[in-house]
Amino acid sequence: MSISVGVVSFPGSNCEADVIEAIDTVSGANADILWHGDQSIGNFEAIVLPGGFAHGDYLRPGAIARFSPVMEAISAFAAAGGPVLGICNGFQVLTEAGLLPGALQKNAGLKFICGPTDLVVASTSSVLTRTATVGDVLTVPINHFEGNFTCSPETLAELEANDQVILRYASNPNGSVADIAGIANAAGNVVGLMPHPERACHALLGSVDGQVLLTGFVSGGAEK
Amino acid sequence: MRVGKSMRFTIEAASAEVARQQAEDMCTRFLTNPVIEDATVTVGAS
Repeated sequence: MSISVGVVSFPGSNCEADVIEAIDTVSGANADILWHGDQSIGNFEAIVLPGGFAHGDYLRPGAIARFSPVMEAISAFAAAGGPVLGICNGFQVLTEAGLLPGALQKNAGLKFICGPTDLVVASTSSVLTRTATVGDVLTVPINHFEGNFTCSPETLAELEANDQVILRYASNPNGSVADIAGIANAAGNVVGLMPHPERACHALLGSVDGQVLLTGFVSGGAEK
Repeated sequence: MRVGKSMRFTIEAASAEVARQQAEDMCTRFLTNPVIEDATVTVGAS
């Protein structure tokens, strides 16, 4: 089944074309740009917030983007169970918008880091990981300065208890609490991760391990 | 270690209390991320 995917373009986003290309490559789903200034998400059946530097990352990554007009429509869509995926800067936007818990701080070590990382699938209770297998190791690139996931001990306990930690780093590159690379909301339909699955969808890119994630995401419908 | 920012605003409001409320709203909704940051508001001379 193929669905229509809206990939949000904020001023400063820079991965939207990669995401559209990857979704097209892995699934043949119809993916297209959704402008951040739109008041509605139109007929899109799934939403991706791509990587980049939305609104220049001024103040904090995602702090201004969460006020972009389209975010209100995306929040309503998410509340109704619609699939929403935030990749890298998109993950930061989702936490700032309150659609996912926690926050992304500067990397431990205060260095920008970029390279392939091994991710361990920790839960399949999300729209991103539903076709993966717990324990699978996926090699997917990271590319960030502020990817150090943090949250209160209470929130972390909730995330763990509800199976909301979906991906963990095999070797923690940025100081994230509990090696967290990606999380989902309680319903499993809103997901965020720092690594870039769209950059691991073709053998020429060195890995095809992102395919299982994007394939799951576009396979339609909400989770749980 | 703690790192901070100091921001100064001029707010026109009916009272110091209203101005404080507006500044606190800006702090919690926009200027700080409450998950990782704290903010204190001090109203100066009008």
